[in-house]
Amino acid sequence: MSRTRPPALSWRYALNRVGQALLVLAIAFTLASVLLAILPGDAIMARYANPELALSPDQIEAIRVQSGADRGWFAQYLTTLAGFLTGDFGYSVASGAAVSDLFAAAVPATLALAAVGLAAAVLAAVAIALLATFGRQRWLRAVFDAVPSLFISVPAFWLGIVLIQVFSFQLGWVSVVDPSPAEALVLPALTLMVPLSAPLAQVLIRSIDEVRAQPFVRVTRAKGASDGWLLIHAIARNAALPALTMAGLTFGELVGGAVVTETVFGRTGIGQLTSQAVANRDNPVLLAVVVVSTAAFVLVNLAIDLLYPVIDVRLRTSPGDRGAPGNQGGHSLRAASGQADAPATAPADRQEAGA
Amino acid sequence: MTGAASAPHSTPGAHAGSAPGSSAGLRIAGLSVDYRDRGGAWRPALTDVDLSVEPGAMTAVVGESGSGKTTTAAAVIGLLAGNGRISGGSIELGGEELTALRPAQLARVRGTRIGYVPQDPGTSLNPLATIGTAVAETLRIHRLATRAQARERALELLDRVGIDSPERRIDQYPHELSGGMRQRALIAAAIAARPELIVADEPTSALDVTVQQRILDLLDDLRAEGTGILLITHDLAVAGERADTVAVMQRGRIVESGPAATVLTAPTCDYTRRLLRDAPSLTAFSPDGPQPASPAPEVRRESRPARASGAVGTGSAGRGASAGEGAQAEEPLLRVSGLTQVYARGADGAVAGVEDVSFAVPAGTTHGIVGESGSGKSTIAAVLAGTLVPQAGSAVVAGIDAARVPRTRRRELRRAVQLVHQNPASALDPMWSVGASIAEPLRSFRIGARSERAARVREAMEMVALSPDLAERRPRELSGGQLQRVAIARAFAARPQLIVFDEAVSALDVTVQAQILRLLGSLQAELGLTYVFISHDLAVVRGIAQSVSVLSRGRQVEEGPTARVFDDPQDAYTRRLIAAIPHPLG
Repeated sequence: MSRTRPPALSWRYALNRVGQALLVLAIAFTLASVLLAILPGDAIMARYANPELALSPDQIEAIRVQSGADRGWFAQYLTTLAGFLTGDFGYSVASGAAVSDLFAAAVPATLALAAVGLAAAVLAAVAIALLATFGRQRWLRAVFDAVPSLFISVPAFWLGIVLIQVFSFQLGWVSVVDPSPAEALVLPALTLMVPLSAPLAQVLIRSIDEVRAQPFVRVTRAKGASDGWLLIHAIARNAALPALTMAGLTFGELVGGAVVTETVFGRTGIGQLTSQAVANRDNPVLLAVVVVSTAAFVLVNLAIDLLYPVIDVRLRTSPGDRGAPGNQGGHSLRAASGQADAPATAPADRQEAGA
Repeated sequence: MTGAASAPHSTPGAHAGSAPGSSAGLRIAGLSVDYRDRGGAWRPALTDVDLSVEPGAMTAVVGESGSGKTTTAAAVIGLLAGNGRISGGSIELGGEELTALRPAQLARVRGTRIGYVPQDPGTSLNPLATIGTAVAETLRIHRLATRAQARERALELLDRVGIDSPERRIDQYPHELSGGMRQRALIAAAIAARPELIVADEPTSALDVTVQQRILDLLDDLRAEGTGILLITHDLAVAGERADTVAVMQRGRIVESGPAATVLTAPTCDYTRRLLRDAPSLTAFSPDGPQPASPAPEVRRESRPARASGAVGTGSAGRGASAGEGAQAEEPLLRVSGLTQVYARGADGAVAGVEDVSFAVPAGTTHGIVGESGSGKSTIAAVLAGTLVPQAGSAVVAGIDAARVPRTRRRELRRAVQLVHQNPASALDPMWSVGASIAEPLRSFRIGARSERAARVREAMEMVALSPDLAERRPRELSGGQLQRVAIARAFAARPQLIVFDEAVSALDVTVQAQILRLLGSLQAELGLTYVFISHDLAVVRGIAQSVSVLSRGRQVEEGPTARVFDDPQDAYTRRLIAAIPHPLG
């Protein structure tokens, strides 16, 4: 195993993961198209069948033919797919604006909100987890151990309203009327942070507890290490992997969270774009929202998958090596921790015998 | 402490800080430790323990699990579990009272003056840190060296503990090293700051015998350099062979202590005598010759014609003669021939899996399979149980070839062959009562009427000397020895013809192990069962098996009657295995 050391990151593995990501995107696009096609009516009907416009059914039908809405869904699906592949997301039925322009306007605001919210959530999760595991007093640990459950139970819309009520109207710290860019970001980011940090903190607490119970931590303590040394040198990296996985998954939460948060705080962004598109039955925009958020989700998780081997050296062997038994040096966390159960089977002792 | 007195009292290369003369070394006096249980009550774990470790001497603490020996080690390094406290007594190291130190002061003692060698090298190294980092960590924690100096010293230490090509190993990660090398690295880490005392908590119990011997040799070398060693072990033979002083613990108290030779040859305490009687390596290899733990096979063995000759590592011709009298002309119950399942092949001829294994087991006898981890023992067990179809060869059990079992006879085979694993806790469903577990084969093989099953479970439990009152208990409420009895009762309940024991007694304390072995022997005599007994422990195999196969890296290096293989081993590897068994009595 040590004789031929495979490259740190195998290209086959990376290509494989990229292929999977593309597949997920294609499936998401198709599913969204099908679901939108199944819904009764369409945006043309929603917009022009309005009695106030007093258009005759023939006139509406003419508009439908002109916009291509009269063709079968599969023909529309192919047209849209071709458009997406060439970077043309089509036009909003509601406003007539190019979907790509709408996105260009909305993405930066949402990105700023998401980045700040996620960063705050990670910081909060680490702080909560540390207090819940390394807190000096028993009651302190118990309190912070309960925080994730509390955080996950708080509805985002309610939290947003309470935050505005307290910090803007009563304390007057943050202006909601004509705020500076920073001011406009603080409360929405906080609202986003709370539900995001909960699962992260929960997973982090459990994995810190789990790592702390490992024999190697005891061995490190026996070398005279302080709590701080233990945390930095022995626990942090080992406990990071599960939390990282969770962070990737909570990114999905971020998109849903943005819808509520941006609506409550009246921010422009993908969330608001989405809620308007739903109200207007604006299928081209909705489809783009689904595809763009799926792409973001897939990208983030792809990046995290590729990060694993950087953090965990045991994952650096190429997948091809995994088949051979007797080569069970611990290619995964599970394999490594499983050795504790088998006192008589220290792995790869053939090396020792050959030495 | 005559053994200790004869040891050198100087500590070359040791601390300036350690006080000279009589106060050097470790002195534990009247130590008591309590643990708080879930109800909040304090329960004593150690009571009035007196121990000492002289510089350059080794004191071994021996006892069964739960006797308090690991608590003793934890108290010395100041790492009692969170619910533990020292309720009395003193621990003095080099004249300094450790129990009086504040946590931060104690942390300065750990690593620098006391080195700790843990039990399981598989999980005792940070999987994400290099070997070099782990070895030099003590120096970095206590700021005794710069990064570059620490690396230099780590190279030195790796070389010192006998790890080949330290320049390469230093940057490798634990999963790239074998168990033996990891334990060497852990010892290197423990001695990095040249401590005056090493606390070694079962340092070899997770290792193969030949590796164990080399690790113990290494500890011997450190002792010769003047380091005091507190060795915690369940293995009386290891303690007797290596230690100057042996202390026997039972239920948190030291029941006997003195020079190793005295404790082992003239024990004054009943508990020590029982431990000595039950230790397979002491009974099977004492100068008086083998005294098998199981009385029943002994009868057979005496009636067996003494066969000094025997084909080595080849087919099974004439093997029937080595069975009990009744089985002479019969076809053996199990005949394995040319069994091959090769997963991978090493450059040096090592095989992962097994290659060309052949042996035959007459009905009513036991065949032992001995080998170190990775030798392919468990691959054989999987084939016998019909869960693995090998690449080549056959394993005929009572007329059914387990290696090529036709679909129609699969259930028949499953019933004829039962498996007992090493870890009963994982082999029993934690949600089921043990009675339900024992009844499982009765249900799945439709043995007996529904109304009879309770009676059969009761019968099976009585057979393995378990009180039938325990049938309603869950596995977590039973001890390891009781659970293994449950697993055995379940195997017997199916009324099999062959039982495969895969390291079935390896995780048990010696006295429990001896009880189980005696039980297996009498059940075999009573029911005429055939066993295949897989173990890394030669002494256990010698005590129970009539014939034995020795496996090394997937190859069967030797096969024959037990007495012949052990008394006159033909293969170099077998000789090395036998030599690696501790010989405490000379």
